[in-house]
Amino acid sequence: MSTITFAIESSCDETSAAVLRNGAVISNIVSSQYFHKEYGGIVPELASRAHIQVIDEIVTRAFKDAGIDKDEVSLMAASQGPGLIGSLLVGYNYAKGFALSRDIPFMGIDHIESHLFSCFIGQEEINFPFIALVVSGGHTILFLVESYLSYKILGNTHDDAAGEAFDKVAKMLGLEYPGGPLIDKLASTGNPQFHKFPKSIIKGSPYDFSFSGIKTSVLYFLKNNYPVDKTNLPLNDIAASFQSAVTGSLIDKTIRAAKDHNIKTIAVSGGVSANSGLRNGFLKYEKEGYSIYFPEKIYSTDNAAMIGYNAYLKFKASVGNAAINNVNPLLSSAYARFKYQQ
Amino acid sequence: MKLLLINSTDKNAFTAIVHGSEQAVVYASEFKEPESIPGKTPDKLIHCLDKLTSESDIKDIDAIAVTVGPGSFTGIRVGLALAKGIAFGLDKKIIPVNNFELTLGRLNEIQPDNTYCVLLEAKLPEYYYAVYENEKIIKKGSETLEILAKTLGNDTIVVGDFDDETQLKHCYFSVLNVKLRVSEFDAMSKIAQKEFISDNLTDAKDVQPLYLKDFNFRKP
Repeated sequence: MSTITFAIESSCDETSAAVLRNGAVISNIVSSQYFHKEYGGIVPELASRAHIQVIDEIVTRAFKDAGIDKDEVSLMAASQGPGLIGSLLVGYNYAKGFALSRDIPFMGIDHIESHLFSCFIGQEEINFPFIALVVSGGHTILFLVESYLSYKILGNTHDDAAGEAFDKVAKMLGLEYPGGPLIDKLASTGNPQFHKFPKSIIKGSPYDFSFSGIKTSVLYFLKNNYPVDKTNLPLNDIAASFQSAVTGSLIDKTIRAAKDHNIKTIAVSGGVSANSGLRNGFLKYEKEGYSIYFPEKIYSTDNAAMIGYNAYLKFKASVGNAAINNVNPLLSSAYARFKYQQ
Repeated sequence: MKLLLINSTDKNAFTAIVHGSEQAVVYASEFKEPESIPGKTPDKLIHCLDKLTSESDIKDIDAIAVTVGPGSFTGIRVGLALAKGIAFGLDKKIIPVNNFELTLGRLNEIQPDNTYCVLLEAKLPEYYYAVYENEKIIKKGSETLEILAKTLGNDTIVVGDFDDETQLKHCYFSVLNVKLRVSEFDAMSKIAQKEFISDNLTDAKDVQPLYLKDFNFRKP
């Protein structure tokens, strides 16, 4: 019998609902909150308000698109965190209400973990182990993934996430929020050798990242070279140089981790995985025998399909696992902060 | 008529089933707070629901009554999100319950000639207030007691669930504290049944929190 999974994601500024049959996505509706642009960043209270406003419509559309009746749903999944707590609570509680009323199993699913499996959406099986880089506006983490239920963190960022650095530098350059995609676009026609921004090296932790230094370096570069007139900034060249420094650092450390652990499979996910500089940089390593996986672009930013896919994999892997099955997941809480141990 | 009640107010959060004489109520305060969950009452509503469903079936309910505010922003949304999820799961409609009505409903009786001002704690020192004349709200908003004392007429009766009335006495209001009067459960179940009989049911998608206070965030 097939498993029909209904999943909800609301951890930041995207409200999303998806329906899956086994590992395959049948529908995935994402509603993004564009109004945050006016504020130059996400305002948590406004994000939560928008979630509760649209959630009914998004869910209804997900079922309509899927052509599935809600009676057929056999597993409910929702993003549990990390994320903005007020936003998370909306989707998380909606999902709990649904699971409770239908008397079906509920799973609180880790958002970051879902990103790292998002490269394989649609596949019934994944080949382990692999190295996973999750890189987004909130996180930059390097994982060694051994199975559906076990993985360990190799490296994390000491300060800013890579996507955050992109957005903040975009702001310095006078670009709109979110600036990441705009920098990518400008960089495609710029000269990456124009200026050498520093790549961070952290003593004693070869897989850890830091992006606050490069941000400051861009700030001073602009201050020193274009103190008054900002109208004639060589935007393309600055964007290209900045992007090449950030992606270079991400790629170098990921490849190093793969080499050190003798693993040839690499999965790169999260919002920044849509960056073409990062994609092309990684793909160069295919010649050296690495298999590089990216999520489809629709699954690189926040979406419910990845939550449902992760839930399905876990559900399948944990059947008969008493330790997992004996707790009541309905009573679990959403969490705002990253909870893993290194 | 079998109704599910979800009340997400800070003080008396509960879930309940009302079905003629069969009534089951589970209060949030009946739960010892697990260490891992910080002291937010609304997040514990699911504990109430879980316990409630172990005592009583919710599959055959006719509608869901839920508090929509004003009150704690996140609290209201948690209760409402649960209600919406259940409404979708069971194909049921929602009875939105306004927290001012709920508080006023806790008085044993209301004199239509009197002017009442219902106060709900917002972020202190401010209160959410609604002024009732002839059982209709003529004015509502969020203000400090000082300003309310200046603007309200002397004959206004202040109604609320107060732990400490001393601050209000200072303002020379006549105060009706509902704390020891009708319980919030009785008041809510009365309102819900009345609305259900009058067919005042709303599609889940049209039920939204009542915020009253604008979220003030200055644009850069």
